[in-house]
Amino acid sequence: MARKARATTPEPSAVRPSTPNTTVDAAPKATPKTSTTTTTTSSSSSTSTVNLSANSSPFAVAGAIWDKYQKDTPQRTKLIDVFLGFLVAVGALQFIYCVVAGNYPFNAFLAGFAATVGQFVLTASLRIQTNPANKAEFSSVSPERAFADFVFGSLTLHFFCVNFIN
Amino acid sequence: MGLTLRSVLTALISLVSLSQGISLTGPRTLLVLEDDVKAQFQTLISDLEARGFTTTTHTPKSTTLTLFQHEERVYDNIIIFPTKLKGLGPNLPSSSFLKHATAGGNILILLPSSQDDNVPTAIAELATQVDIFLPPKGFAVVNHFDLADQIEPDHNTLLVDLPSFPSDTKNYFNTGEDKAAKLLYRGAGLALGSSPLVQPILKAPRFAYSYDTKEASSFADDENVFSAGKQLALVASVQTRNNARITFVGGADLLADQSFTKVAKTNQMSGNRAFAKDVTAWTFKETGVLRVDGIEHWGEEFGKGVVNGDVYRIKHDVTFSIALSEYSYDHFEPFVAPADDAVQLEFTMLDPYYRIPLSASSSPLTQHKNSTTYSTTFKTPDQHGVFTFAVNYKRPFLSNVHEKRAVTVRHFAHNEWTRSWGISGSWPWIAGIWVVVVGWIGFVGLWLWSKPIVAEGKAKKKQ
Repeated sequence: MARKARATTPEPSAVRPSTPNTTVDAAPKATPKTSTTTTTTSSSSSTSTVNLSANSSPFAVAGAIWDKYQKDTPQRTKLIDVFLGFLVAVGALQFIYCVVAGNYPFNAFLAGFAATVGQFVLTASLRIQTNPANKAEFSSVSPERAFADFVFGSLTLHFFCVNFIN
Repeated sequence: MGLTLRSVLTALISLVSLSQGISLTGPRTLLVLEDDVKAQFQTLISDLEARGFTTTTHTPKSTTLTLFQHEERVYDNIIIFPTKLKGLGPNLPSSSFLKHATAGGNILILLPSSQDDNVPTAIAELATQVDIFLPPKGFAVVNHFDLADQIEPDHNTLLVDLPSFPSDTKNYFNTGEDKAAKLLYRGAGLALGSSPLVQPILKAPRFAYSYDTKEASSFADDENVFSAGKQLALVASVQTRNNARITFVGGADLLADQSFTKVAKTNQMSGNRAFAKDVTAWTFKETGVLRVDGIEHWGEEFGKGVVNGDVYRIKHDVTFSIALSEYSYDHFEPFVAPADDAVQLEFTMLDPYYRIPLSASSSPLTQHKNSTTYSTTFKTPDQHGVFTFAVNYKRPFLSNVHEKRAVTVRHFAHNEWTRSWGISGSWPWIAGIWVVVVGWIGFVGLWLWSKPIVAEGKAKKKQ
């Protein structure tokens, strides 16, 4: 649906200069025609370019983001993101249980919920420190060092949570 | 320790008295009476002596009479008989009676039966001080509806039923054989104040009233009626806070020989003699005296292994028991609380957290001879601090029981809380922690396994 709707739009080249995507200029001629004929632009394209305009539908934008993520994100960062999603799910379940079934015993709720929150924070830190895109900012912290810190922090967190839940 | 000492003393005293009845206060009794009055009370005095009282007689004006020697009571009990004198003499001011009562002595005061006789000033003062009010001279109680003797013109002699009390009060004043006997009474009566220490023993019949015989010989109206009906007490008593007893008898004839006769109307013997025994026995502490034989408390933590310990824990079962016995003439016997009354335990920290009835225990921890063990088991409140087991049993005609035992109630020790897995509500959160831990281990494993290729290439270059 989204792709067909894009075909009826006016000449996209008219608004192209305002587009922030700098990679679009790499294949200016292919843009109007490929969008009408092929539905999987990202898989066929050799670059990470997705042809978007200011009038692109939100689904197209989301799809483009997803494609770019799939393409550009390192394997380990993806693994971190999966783990982060898992932690959010577990934390949300515990919080919903607390709301539905009551907070007794409260220390157990605190321990269980804090385990997910704390682990999320530590993992997010690991993601920031090991992301190649942030290398400039963390030049003094190697990914190995970051991972060692992460393991140490996590073990400490688990120790405290298990103790706190009694 | 005090209990054992007291029981040894009691045993000694009862040995000395050779199984005669004996007052708990002591046998030394002072009779304040004039010689011409003594003849009217021969039976009362001889009955007292037969029960083990040693009597000393003094006239009110006696100069050798003294109630205290070396600041010790000389007499245990005092009976003041009616006198024609306006005052009792220099050795018997009203303060001396209060001092006697403060020192634990008992006093029985017989007010004159004849409206023409004076009440000594010291006696009137004493009565006012203990919240009992006497009518002025010239007052008499009459009852025109229930005549003791048809030929008596003034209707001044009353027929009064023996005392009866509500079912939550013990009756020590109707112990004679004939429960339906009538009492013959002649006198002015008493009005009682609102002091909780004052108790009426004998009340006037419903239609009786006390009126001024001088002012209203033909009829009585509001102005010259002192009191009437059940509001009018004939015999009343004060038990002081130290359990001394001061009894006022509104008309001395109640205990006089002339009343220990047949009642003309019913042709039955009057109940006066038995009533005289009951009143003197109660006033002089031969009856109605409670003794605490032992207090024991123990808790769930140590069971009966630690009795009367200092520390209990919150939310633990605690058992408290108190052994009570009651004196009856010459021996202590198990105290049985009246049917509608209960001995209560208070568990107090500033305020009572619990006030619960104690029930007679069938299997007390320690068997006390001749006493009833009242006990109860309760759970300590969820509040730590210094608590007091208190039994505050103060009832009409019984000596006061006010026992306190302070104990510490501690909170949970850190290892006494329920573990998390003992509470099913915490299982999801326990699971949450372990899911995170397992997930984390899996993540670490995957992380190490998925080492980036770029890094490998760089490492090779370096080597």
